[in-house]
Amino acid sequence: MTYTVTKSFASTLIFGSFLLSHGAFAAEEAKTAVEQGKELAVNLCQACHHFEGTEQAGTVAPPLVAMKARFPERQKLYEIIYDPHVATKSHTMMPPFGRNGLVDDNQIQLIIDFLYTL
Amino acid sequence: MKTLLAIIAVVSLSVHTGLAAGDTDVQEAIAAAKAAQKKADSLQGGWVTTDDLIKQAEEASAEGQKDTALKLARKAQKEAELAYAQAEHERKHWSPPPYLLPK
Amino acid sequence: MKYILAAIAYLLLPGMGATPAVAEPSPDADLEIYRDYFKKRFPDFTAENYSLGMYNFNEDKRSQWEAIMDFPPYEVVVETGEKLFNTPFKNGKTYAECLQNGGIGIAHTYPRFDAETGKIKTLSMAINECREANGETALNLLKGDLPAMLAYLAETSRGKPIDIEVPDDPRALAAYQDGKRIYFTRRGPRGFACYHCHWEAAGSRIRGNELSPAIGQATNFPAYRSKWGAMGPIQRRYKGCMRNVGAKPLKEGEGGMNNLEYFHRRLSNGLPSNAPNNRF
Repeated sequence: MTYTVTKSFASTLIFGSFLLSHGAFAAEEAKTAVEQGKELAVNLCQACHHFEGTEQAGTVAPPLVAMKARFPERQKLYEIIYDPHVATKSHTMMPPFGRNGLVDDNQIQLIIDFLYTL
Repeated sequence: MKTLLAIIAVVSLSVHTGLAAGDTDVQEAIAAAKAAQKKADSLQGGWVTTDDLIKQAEEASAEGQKDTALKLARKAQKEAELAYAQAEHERKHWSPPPYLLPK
Repeated sequence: MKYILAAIAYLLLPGMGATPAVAEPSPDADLEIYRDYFKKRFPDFTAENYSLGMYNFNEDKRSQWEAIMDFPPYEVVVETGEKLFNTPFKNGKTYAECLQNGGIGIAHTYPRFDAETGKIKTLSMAINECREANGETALNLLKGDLPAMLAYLAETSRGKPIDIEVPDDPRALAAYQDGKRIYFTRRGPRGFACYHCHWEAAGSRIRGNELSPAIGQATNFPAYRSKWGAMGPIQRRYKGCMRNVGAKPLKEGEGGMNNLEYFHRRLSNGLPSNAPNNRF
């Protein structure tokens, strides 16, 4: 008797949180990968890089333009965003977004999806 | 019969709560996070957010939100480890940029 | 055999036997490289430009600053600081008796290397030492009465060229090197070192902020910052900067922070002290 009560209570909790998280995700799913990537880029990249759509872009770094032509290899772009200190072997000011946990791998891919539209 | 039911109740309840974080798990995770932060600080390399995360973990633990506390403590520990790794690397490899070095 | 073992042990001591492949440039050699860099970047810069810092790069903010400078808030603090400085301790002695030349016209030479302790001493620390030697308690280094007195003492040095000396003492050199290391070390989740914003990026903008060149920054401190609503020493600004990049700030008045100030203020050697100043 007690076990059944516990089981249904647990199931309600699990199903309920599933609904909640998917409810939130449903709003995200309506956004395309490019849209999600743009949101991330505006929050993380605009401080230093100008790109189409920015209003308060910084000027310390090169503008992001013609990205597909300039970085045809997706993996190369991933490595630059993950850890530019290693990828460009330099004293660059660009943060190691991936290595220091500022973004996860999925977010880097979304950012690249957006960058490739520039 | 009643005794048997009582035993089943206690056992199933503890099985259920055992799925959530135990008190010792949380305390150990918070202690691990603090130790990692101390290590990062010893190289002048701590990050500001880590102290906040540890504080939030302690608050969550005090309020009995063990899963949240565990998650926050582990996040804090991960951050402090990244901070330490960076500080350790910098100790060995810090340098003025090429344009500020002697020719 | 004993001597071979001893020699090996000596070489294994940290720092011993670990001679760098290239000798570290002397502080003077460093200064020449640093000055050359900005002479090339900003060939038309005068001493005034170096002191203006970020206001060189934003007309709007510069006019706002110039307007504030008509009636600068720091003037009130200087008056308060003068009164405090001239108030004797309970035992009748004064700050002037502790300091070279009574404290007048010396601020531009601090921080100094103290041969007695082998460490770097800021003017704030000298003031607190004076207090404790005369039975008073040390003051908070970053806020309140101490920055006020610092502002008064800085005013008596206005126009004098910043003169931070690294004497021929291995301990002074070590302190300078430690400050240099801290300056060039990446910190925080974004891995920013001080040099990233204030050399190559000087004159550019991050978010909404134009970045000041490293040479000249120290001439303006102590400064009344609108953001603080108060007068503050340069170490308060260092702490804020470190927090801005997500790094836990170093503790004011202690080894690392003092060494950083020793290195950083020396970058402005030769430039007229322009403190106290105003910033918003």
